[in-house]
Amino acid sequence: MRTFIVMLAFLFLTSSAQAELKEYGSMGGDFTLPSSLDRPVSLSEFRGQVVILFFGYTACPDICPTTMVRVQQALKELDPDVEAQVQPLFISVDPERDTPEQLQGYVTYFHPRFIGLTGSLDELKAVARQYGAFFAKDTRTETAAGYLVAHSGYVYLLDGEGELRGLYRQDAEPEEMADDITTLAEDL
Amino acid sequence: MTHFSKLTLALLVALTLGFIPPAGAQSQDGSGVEAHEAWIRATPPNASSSAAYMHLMNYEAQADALLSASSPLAEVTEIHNVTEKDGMMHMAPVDAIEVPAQGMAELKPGGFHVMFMKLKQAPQPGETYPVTLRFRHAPEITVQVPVMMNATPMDHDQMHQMHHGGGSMKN
Repeated sequence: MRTFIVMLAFLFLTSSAQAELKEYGSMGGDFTLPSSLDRPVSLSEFRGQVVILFFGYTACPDICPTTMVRVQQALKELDPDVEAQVQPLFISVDPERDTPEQLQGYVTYFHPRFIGLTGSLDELKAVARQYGAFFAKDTRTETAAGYLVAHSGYVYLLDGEGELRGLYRQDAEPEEMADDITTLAEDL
Repeated sequence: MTHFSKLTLALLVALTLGFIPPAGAQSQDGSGVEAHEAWIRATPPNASSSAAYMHLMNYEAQADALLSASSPLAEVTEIHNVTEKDGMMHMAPVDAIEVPAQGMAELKPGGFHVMFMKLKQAPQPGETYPVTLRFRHAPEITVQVPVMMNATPMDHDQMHQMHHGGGSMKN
């Protein structure tokens, strides 16, 4: 009985030490999409790196650049060794306007290694579904300069195996993301 | 307490509250509606839109509202709000941004903002652009707004620029 309790305690301690960052089960997963690198890019290319990704569109004036700058700040917080092991990805939810060329000029403004991904509406919807993200062309609101896209505003952090390990809302601090990236980088 | 020290005290209190304009700001007389700590978001060269954020201070006893804005920076300028529902971010034009009597309205990322569409050029840090604001009651004002990447306290250079830039100048 005593051995059993000791074993339980040991299991609890080791698992709590490892479970510093959550696991999200089936949420997330691989995808291959046309990219700002002018070739299709697969998530699986970044095994052994920490991936930080989010969904947005380049005509988005408020939420997306705010998220961009938060990701940029999180990357700035990192030790250069750790930073070199992070791949930032931006997945467009506006395939009509966001061509690979449009994405290239946009994402590299925020970080030279940023890769922008786009695709057909169906391809992008499938990836969004994998990540529990959603978006919709906003047909209710007319602006003088075209349509807007409503979308969820989460930032996702993936470990070296491509597993989802962090999910951040709009109000998450860049420091929090940087700390979690550093934790994941230790396991690479 | 002498008259002089009362005045000094009042001045100190006003300074602490931030109601005294920085040296060089012209005709900032604590009346009507004024824009403080304004900034325009820097954008990538090929971006089609940007936004401006600011604090609108209403010095009058009656409530006011920002009704429209314009700037030579963009072909189209609208006032927008962002709302979050079930994790989904919606952005939409609004008719007005209410500014309470002797109160403040905050235009900030993820909330109310002045939205620039069909940019004529990409605003870059270090530049300033005039933005004209029209209110329900207060006279229209034009403010010179500095361009910044972000306005979080993390970036001390930008805070410096924000506090000493022409962001609260009234023409």
